[in-house]
Amino acid sequence: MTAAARRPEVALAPAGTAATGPPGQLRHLLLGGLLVCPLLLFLAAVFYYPLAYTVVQSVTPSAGGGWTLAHYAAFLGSREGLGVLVLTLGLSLAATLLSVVLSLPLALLLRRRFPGRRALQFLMMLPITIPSLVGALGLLILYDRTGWLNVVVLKLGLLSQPLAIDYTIPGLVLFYVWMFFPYGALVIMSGLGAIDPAVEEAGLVMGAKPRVVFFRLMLPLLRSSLWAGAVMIFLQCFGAFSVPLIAGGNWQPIGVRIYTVANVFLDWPQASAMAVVMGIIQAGLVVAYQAIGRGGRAA
Amino acid sequence: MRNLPWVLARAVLVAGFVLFISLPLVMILLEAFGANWFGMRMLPAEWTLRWFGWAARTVDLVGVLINTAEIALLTTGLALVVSLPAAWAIARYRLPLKPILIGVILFPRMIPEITFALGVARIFYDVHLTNTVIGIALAHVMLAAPFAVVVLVSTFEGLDSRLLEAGTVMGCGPLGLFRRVTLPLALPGIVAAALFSFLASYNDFVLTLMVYGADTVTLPVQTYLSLGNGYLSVAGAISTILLVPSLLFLVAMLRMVRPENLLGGLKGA
Repeated sequence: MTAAARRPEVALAPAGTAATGPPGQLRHLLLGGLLVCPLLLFLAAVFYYPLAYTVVQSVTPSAGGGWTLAHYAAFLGSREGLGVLVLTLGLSLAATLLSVVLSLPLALLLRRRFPGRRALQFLMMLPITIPSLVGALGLLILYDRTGWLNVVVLKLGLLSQPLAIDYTIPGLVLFYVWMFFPYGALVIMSGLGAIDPAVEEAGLVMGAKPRVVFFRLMLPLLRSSLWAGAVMIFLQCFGAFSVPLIAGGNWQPIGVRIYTVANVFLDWPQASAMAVVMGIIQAGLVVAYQAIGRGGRAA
Repeated sequence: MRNLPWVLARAVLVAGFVLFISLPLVMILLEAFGANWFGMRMLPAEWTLRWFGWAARTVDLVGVLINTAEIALLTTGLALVVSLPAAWAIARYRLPLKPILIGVILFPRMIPEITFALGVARIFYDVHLTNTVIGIALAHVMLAAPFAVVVLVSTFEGLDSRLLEAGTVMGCGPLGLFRRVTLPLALPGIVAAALFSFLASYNDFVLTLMVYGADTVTLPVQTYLSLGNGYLSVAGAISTILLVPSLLFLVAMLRMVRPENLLGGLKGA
């Protein structure tokens, strides 16, 4: 395959030349198709076939034969199933709002050069570079009843009882913020980078107070980045698996619930139906993210 | 603008941020290198390397590390073999329906891993690919290849055609052209794609959890298993080893690219 990859450079029309007529186009089509083939075959075998398999499973009656939407009805029509969706969406929404609030000042701060900026960038990238499982483990230890936060709070006499954070919903929200806010911060940072510094200077030169410049100039210009960052964080929270798996306790958002239904209850058709619902919601969020990105560029 | 409250607010923001992000990882290190860390103690009573020894003896840490590295290297190789030609074709050829083609290649990163992991688990079980190094690597290629293609397409699109032409004019054959011109020019992009692929596999937990077996436990899976068995310190020791490639990768990446351009390559679940 690599040999095939090496050959075409000579046959290649320099980028930017006009179309070379039917023979050239045919060669592009044939050689290009040949080069893309291995990847497409791979995707078909290890991604699209399993995906189709999951979809087929989700409409297969537990008793076998024919097809049914019973598994979807059982998930979307039951209190328990709706509870899973509400929990997942609620956690994601809360974590997204908090993350955006954290990301914005950070992105503004990291815009300027100052000593230690690189170290801060390094820190900011940590939660999304390391395995989520490791981050979740560290968070569990830090916010444990005998963890550092509680030790400090109790020793300072701020509280008489340790705070229960691990395995609670506010705890999960906090963990999600730690784990996923960098996605939002990165989107907002690239949005900030696209704003002409002259805009801010002009505002200041014209005598506006920094606060006014921020709220009247910067924030409106950043609006599409903020939305894109928010959707990005929401997407990550919605798909979270490792964090709620080990730090969720009795709270099981959709990813963990699917895993439990499949591996503990061994109800694969039911798990498949939930997985398809999750996939559709997530794909919808990605489309929304891309639409915002396009809108932002067009504006 | 440089008045005292402003400077103070900034200092508090930075300090809070640094503590918020870094302390969970500090906890992992304390757990891994400390013993008798109970009750209201801030620091362990004793510093030790014994948890690494425990991990080596009780959960075959060395074997697990070798599994993880084998799977990650195999994933990297496979991902590059399928992504390089595809990316070259997308970047340098006039193909019809290119946006659809790119959509088909990126779709695996758009939906949650667990959605296709269920199907992968069932199919791999039927064809005896579960609990094999090659099976897990095949599944991991689906995580690595889409992003490798993105990096490689932008690398190949950035190649200056005039340099390639010059090479041909100066008498390079196709192979010589590749070796002397194309490869050196594209090398940083290829290395980045390889690093991303390696890390995607090395750190993966969700897909591995669905297809691993007794002989193919990886570091993330073992961290999870040790936690489930209640060996928090052993889990901490394994996590410490698990962290090393990510940290090296991050240092290397921040030297090469601006952080906001890293978006999309990293994905937690």
